[in-house]
Amino acid sequence: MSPLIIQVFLLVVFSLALAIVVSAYRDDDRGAILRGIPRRALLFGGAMVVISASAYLMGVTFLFPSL
Amino acid sequence: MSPLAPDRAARDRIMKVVGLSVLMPGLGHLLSGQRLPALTWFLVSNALLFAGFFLAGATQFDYGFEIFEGSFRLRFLFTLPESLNIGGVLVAGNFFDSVESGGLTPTNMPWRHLGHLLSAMGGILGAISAAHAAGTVVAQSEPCKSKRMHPGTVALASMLLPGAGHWLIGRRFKAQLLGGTVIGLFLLGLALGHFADFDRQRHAYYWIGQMLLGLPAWLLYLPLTPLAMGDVFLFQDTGYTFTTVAGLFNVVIALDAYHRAESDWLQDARQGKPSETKAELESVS
Repeated sequence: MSPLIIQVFLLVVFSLALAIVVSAYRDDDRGAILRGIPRRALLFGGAMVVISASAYLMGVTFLFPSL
Repeated sequence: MSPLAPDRAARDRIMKVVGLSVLMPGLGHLLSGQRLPALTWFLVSNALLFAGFFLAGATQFDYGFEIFEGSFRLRFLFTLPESLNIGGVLVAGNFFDSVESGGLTPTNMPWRHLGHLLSAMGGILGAISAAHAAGTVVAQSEPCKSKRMHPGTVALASMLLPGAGHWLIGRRFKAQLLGGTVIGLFLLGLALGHFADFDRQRHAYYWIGQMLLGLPAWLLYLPLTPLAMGDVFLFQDTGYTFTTVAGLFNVVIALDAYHRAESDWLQDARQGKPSETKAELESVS
């Protein structure tokens, strides 16, 4: 597996773990916790993807050192 | 989150006992009139702390940084999690000097890792004593006839074993979900660092968070310390992050367990009584 695939897998794992802890902290009902997990995981994972993509794009454009 | 909360007088007492417990484990219980628990918390937390400083040659005091030079030199110690027992660390600082003098005189100490483990446990137990003392005040202010678990005991169980606090208050689903998640995250983080990313000497700052996982981390620490890093692993940084965040998540889980237990306790204690606290809380906010 390429490092990128592993990084995506690790991001999914971390996003899920974070979403589980936050959902269980916010709610006490089993259904509400389970409903909150995908939404929060997507929100966090999506934010990380956007930040990483922005960092990559800046790195290969105007932050790229001129030769 | 449930609006149930202790009344104003109890909240004022909680502030006092928590403040005193952080200064010295046991003092909060003493203020609550709980002499035996006060003595137990004081002895256990400080015995672990001092045994740890003794066995590790007080090398815990080597972690920190200095600013300025010469006679204006200021040294900031970063003795965490030991400093969660502030009084104990301040007293120890007057009795012990690091045998390694800030790392300048490396010394072979066979019990170094055991010492660091014990002193960290002493510090973390000092912080838990504050939660336990707060739970004691809740139980005293509104006694509960049913055999509910005291919120402080729930917090203690949760900090020692992730999910155990929720299990004790009947929230089995949350216990399994949260316990499995943080222990799984911790183990995955260890695997990413080839099980060599859990060492205070190599990663002192990450180690603070890692130790907050409680017994699973404390039991794994000594068996894993002989493992050498030896190489730079591709995902070792992710490993540090996962293991450290798992420990920090455990604190969030313990806070949740405490508040759910407190809410359950107050609900039972107020059965048949009008809830004045909710109106009081709304008027304050």
